[in-house]
Amino acid sequence: MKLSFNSNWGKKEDATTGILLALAFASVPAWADKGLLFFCSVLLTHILFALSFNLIFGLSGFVSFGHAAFFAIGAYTTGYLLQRQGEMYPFLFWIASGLSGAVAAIIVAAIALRRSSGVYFAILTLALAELVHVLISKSTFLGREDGMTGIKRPVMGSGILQVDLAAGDNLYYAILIGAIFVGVVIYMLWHNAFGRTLGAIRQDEERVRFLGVNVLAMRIGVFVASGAFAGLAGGLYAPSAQLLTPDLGNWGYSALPILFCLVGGANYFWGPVLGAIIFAGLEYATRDVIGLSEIIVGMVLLIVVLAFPGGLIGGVITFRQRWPGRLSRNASSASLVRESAE
Amino acid sequence: MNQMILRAEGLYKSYGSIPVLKDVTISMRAGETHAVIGPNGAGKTTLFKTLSGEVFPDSGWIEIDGKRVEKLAGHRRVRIGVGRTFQVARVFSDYSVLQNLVVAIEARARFRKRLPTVSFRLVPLNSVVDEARGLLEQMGLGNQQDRLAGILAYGDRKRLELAMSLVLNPRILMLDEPMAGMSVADRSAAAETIRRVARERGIAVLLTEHDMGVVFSLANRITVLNYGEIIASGTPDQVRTSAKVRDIYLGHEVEHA
Repeated sequence: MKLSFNSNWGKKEDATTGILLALAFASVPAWADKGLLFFCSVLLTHILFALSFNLIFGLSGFVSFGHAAFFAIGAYTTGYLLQRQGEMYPFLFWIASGLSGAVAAIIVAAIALRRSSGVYFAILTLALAELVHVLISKSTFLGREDGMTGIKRPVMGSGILQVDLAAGDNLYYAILIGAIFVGVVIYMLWHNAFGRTLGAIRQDEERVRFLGVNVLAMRIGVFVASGAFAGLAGGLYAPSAQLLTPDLGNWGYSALPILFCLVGGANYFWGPVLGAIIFAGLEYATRDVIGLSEIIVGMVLLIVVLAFPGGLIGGVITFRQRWPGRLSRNASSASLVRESAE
Repeated sequence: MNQMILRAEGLYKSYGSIPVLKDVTISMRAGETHAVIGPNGAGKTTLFKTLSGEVFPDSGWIEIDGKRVEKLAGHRRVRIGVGRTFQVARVFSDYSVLQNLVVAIEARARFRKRLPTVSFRLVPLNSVVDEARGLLEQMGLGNQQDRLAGILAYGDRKRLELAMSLVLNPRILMLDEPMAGMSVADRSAAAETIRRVARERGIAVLLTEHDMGVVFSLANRITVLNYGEIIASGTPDQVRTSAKVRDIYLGHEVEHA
């Protein structure tokens, strides 16, 4: 596929996809019941969680098996603040969640990223996440194994501009706006010079080093950004769920973004978004079939990973290249860089 | 000739109990092409890595442009002017040829503080793309700029790698077997490119190479390593006529080359 570098081709597709997706999510309160609305707000936080994870996995080429720790830390931070305080300066608790995720990522980076890479790093993150999990489940002020309850939905803002997140669908819209904002920031990181260099590091870190780039600093930078966004995703989750259990930091939860990325296509910005939506769809469709849900989800994952090694988006792009014209050009919206990479 | 760009003295390096470099001293001036030759395992690659910062010497010192660098990490040495290509060309296979150069130019712009570390521009600056296009034309890769680097012919990949090193404006260019894996036709073209680069940009070129024809036609100075020790260093003629070199190295290599 021949593309000229400076064309906006791809960016326009991405913008269209993003706007359509945002409108679709914005329309949910109009037609869905309370249960489905809650389900969608959780889905939004999962999309953000997976997008934050894919900054390191798909873009930069290293894996963390313990990303749920950042999500959990973010969730418990907002949860703890909202338990105590029903009224807060706008966004303060969510900013706190992002910061706590970033601080945790700095600690993990200092311990693990400096001295290991590849699978060793992944195992270290798994161990550190398990530590977070255990600490949460032993901490009385976080509710131990029973979980944290009594998380209030706050009134955001002050003076005339007040939004009561406990009323109506306000919380859902607040989460949606937060998700769009963070999604745009992640999109920018994925496509700017920083992202291009990270993609180059994924392909050949030695070469990048001999372009005068401090590869370790770049890795730490993207890891901390990823931790911050995962923390923020957790922060958005807390007031919506109103019950936080230590399971949020468990390895099973860390597996979610990996699965989302693999199903959707880790090499594409939209991959984890698509993966999270597909998983949520399957989960929702099979919610009444006790025990069968996991089997169906597992089967789908197996089929997708075997049939489309590049995820669903990768599969669509390969299909489009092999049989041009069969699918509409708007069928997928991979990024410009990745598109030309195929 | 010109001023001294690289000076290294008394370099020692051993891996475990095996000494690889023993008291190696080397120096280079601008515009000079210096070849390091020696049998396999003589320590050429280790010398390269020591100079480029991939490994640190156990003792001895290295000066680039008058700055002591022997304890400086590789990427920091790149920033003060060390360029490097690898024995097997390393490029970003998933990126187009143009994108490869854009990444290199943006890296330079960032360490020269011409570009912020994080910007919100989603496409590279026009000036960056123009510079990349210009250099690709110069290197004869102009008509391939939109192809993926991974599917380039090997000689072209080597040229792309060289171009990526050149955009960093190095003072010293270290080429690890620049001709390895190339066809005969590619070799003479590559030799011409290296000669031109050294002349036009006044870069000091340090290379290792097994092809003695290339070495003797390109290099102004040759250093011969054997078991980590310098056994001869001088002009090609001095090295060619050295009995010691003939004895242990050139004799059979030339016959087989």
